[in-house]
Amino acid sequence: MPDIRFNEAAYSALADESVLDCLLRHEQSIPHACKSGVCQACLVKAVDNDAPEQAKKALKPTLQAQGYALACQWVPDADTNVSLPSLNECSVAVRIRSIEPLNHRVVRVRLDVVDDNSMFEYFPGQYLTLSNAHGISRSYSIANNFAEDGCIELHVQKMPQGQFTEWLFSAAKPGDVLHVRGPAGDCFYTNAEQEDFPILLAGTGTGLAPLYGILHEALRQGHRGSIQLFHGGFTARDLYCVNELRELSMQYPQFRYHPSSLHAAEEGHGAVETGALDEVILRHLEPATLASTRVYLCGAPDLVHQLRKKIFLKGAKSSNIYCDPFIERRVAAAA
Amino acid sequence: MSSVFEKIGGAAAVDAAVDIFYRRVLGDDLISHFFDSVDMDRQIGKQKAFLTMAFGGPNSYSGKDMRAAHKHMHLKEEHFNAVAGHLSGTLQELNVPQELINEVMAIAASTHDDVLNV
Repeated sequence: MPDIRFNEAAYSALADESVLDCLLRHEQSIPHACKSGVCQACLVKAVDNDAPEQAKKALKPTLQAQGYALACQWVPDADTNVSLPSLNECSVAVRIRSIEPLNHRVVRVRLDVVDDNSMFEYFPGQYLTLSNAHGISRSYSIANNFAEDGCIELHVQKMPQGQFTEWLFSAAKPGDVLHVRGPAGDCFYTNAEQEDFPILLAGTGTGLAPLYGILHEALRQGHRGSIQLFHGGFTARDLYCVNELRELSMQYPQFRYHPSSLHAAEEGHGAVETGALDEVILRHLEPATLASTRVYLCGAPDLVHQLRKKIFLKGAKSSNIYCDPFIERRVAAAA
Repeated sequence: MSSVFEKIGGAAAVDAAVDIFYRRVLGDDLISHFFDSVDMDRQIGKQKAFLTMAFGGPNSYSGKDMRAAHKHMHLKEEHFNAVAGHLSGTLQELNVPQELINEVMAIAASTHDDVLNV
């Protein structure tokens, strides 16, 4: 079995074990989150030999050229020497501008980029990985357009026993510096041909964050096709940005907003439909236009999978359905 | 003499057929559980590979692969027939001429023993 050299020691890898799993098994501290090759939290530098293509392909060419690879995707077949990247080499320092409650368990976090703003480019709806000073990393979707707003906006839900959100909700304050890696993900709005296809956005909880980013980006680019946003919660209290989105739907006739909750809404929440998110969507679905509709689904993996299947069976093109299942990168936050 | 794959329209025909075919099998309670997985992209990829093979296109399926891939599913005649029915139904939906459909179905039928592990 190959040895993995890390921090001046050698660790023996098991058959088919990734560099990340091997180092974690040997109780080495190495940032990680999704373990699926997407969040890029487990970036390592190959010191002597080159990493296999599989471990590099998700990275930007600039990172590949510097010998970086994803430890979770790297199954070594020979002795390997890796090191952790230095923070400033491949991440961007950001400073908390504000933390503002959006509902009983979600906050809006705004981040300023500390040094060179021009270095940071992303599409609203992509996600990035945040690391705090304690070395805890979590991935969050980006809810706004950086070039427009001059800051990064994230929606963060408090996780029970979540190390990162524990810190964010109790100890973090404006001015604190974090490090950001990314962005990654292909759940975003592009429309180079200026077409007016319908857009269907659906999610629960902070699945709204990427959808909110995509919605604003589509409106900003003058999207002419209809845009429907379905946001679901267990109760109406789990929804957020409700008034803001209602106002937006008055301002833009092509935009319709459908807040819903599984349990009937108590007084004071305005018109919130009752029902499971998939039922609510099916109520409003326009089968005739579904084949040309671009669909974005974000949130809990089971829900995303189920919605994707239902909407596909109703006639959406598989290549037109973009999904961002919040895999372990968020579930892990509860561990 | 061009191949079935060329006559039917090549990779573009596979792209046109894959959603229709996959929607049909996913909607068929008899067989949908064989096709329903969290990773829909991967499933779509598999169906494309299957259609390319059935259309007589370039593929790397060997009888041995076919056998190994289906062995654990314990498939019966009715499952094979259901998939075959959706294959020809897909091509009919796309208005593919019947003689071409017959050629495709002949290729699909040639996998029968490997798929059912007989």
